Amino acid sequence: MTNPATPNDLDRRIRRAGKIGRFLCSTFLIGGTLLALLLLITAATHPEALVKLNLDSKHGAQVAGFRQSPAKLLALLLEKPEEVIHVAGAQQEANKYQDLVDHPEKRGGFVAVTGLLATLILGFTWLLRQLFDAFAEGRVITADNARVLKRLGIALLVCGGLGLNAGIVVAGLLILILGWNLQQALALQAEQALVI
Amino acid sequence: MAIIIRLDVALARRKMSLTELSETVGITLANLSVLKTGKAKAIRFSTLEAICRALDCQPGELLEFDAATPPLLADHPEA
Repeated sequence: MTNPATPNDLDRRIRRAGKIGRFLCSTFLIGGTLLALLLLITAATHPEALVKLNLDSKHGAQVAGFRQSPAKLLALLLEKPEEVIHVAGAQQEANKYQDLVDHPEKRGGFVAVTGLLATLILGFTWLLRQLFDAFAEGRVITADNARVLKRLGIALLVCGGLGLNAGIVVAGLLILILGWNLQQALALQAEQALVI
Repeated sequence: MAIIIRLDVALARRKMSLTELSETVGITLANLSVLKTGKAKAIRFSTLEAICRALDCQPGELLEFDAATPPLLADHPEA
């Protein structure tokens, strides 16, 4: 049978989890910002580089099959020409960045939409980092944390709403309610503290 | 708030300090300070009784109503 956690143990665990979360969020923020900048600059200036990267994992295996040696491809073309045509089509589909190469006028829109999405995700991570930062310093039930929780909920609601993802919207709503509840509880506690 | 706590006056009359009252009544100095500065939202009867016993006074000596101050609750304009 395990012993129940004492308040000190709990505090230590919360602080540790906060430190780990803060480190992960910081890493993601730095890495994510660099990656987003790299993606946006490349998409705006050299989209053909993104086509070569072939970032779409959905058709990755098919495209890899298409990149076989010419001799194998020739044999495949002679034996199963319909498969070669199918894989070639898949590669065309896999390269979602090909559109940016073919139509330079679409680059601005792509950069704007991807930039907005990246900003939302990085903003969400920044809020999460604030929350973990408070946990790392032992501040769990505070007005600041309640405010951050509410903002996280709103950020998730916006992200879910933009992406039409009901799961994210529900999660955002739950976090928003949690933050609001915490805020109300803290307000009640503050009022009770003034009853002598 | 229209209710004014006259704890400082009562203490001065009995030449007692807030620390002494805190020790006699068993209420923290911080809480008594909140009461004295008029920041308290409410006072329990048990607290009032303890203070009245310690200072040997009536509740009326500690509390005062100032009709000129605007009401705290909107739905009780004259209460």
